[in-house]
Amino acid sequence: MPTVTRWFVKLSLIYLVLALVVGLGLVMQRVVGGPDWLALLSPAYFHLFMVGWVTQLIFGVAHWMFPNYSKEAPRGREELIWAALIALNTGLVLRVLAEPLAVREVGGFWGIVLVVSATLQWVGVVLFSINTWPRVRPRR
Amino acid sequence: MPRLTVWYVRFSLLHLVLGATFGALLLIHKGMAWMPWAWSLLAGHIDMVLFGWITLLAMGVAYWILPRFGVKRKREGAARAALVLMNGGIFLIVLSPWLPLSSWVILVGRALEGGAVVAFAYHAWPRVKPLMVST
Repeated sequence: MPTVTRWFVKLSLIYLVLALVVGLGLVMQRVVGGPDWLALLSPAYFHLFMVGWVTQLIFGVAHWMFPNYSKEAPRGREELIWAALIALNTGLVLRVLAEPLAVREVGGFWGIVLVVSATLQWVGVVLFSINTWPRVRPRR
Repeated sequence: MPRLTVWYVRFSLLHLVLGATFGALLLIHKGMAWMPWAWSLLAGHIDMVLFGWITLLAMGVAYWILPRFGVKRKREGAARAALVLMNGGIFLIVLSPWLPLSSWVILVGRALEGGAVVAFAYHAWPRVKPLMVST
């Protein structure tokens, strides 16, 4: 298993746990009460699950298992996939931090952090797709 | 990788990039309130990520790696139909906010997506069994 795949898979497991902790917090806030800001974490819960867990696990396993690009560079350009890992994770963490705070002051500092977060996650997805696209081809 | 899987996975990557683009625009709007129209991208964002990216990728890889029980995969037409129906359904749902009778467009889109999963299940069902039966 390549090193970058190990990072993708281990981070995806951490996000799975975090998503379920946030999900538990959301339910507790509704059932037994709690601070109002907890309810603002609902989009973070979905994205920790779908981006952090599901998408990141797929990225790691696809990078490992898809057909080789060439003998010289079996998994394409490694620097692209490392950049995708860093961009996606930085973007996701920034989103989780900034989203509840940006609600109070749209267009302020945390709003700008959300723009950075959106851009980083998008860059991560695009870099993964660029590296993976040429590996998706029929058997020669 | 079979040619049909190539189509499935490439479409799934396209949906991933487009779905992430929609999601990024929505998040930017949440932060800066620059694009009130961004909320009309929400249904497309959800559909492209859940059905376009995750489901098409899973179907494409399943078509590739499930046991074949012979040289050729059987019921291949159903797997091809599933790809076309799913893309058609997602396309309609993404465009629905800008089309007249948008509720009906969403209904047709969902029906196409439902047809896609039924067609794929019809293809995959006989391939899900043990390779050998031991006595």
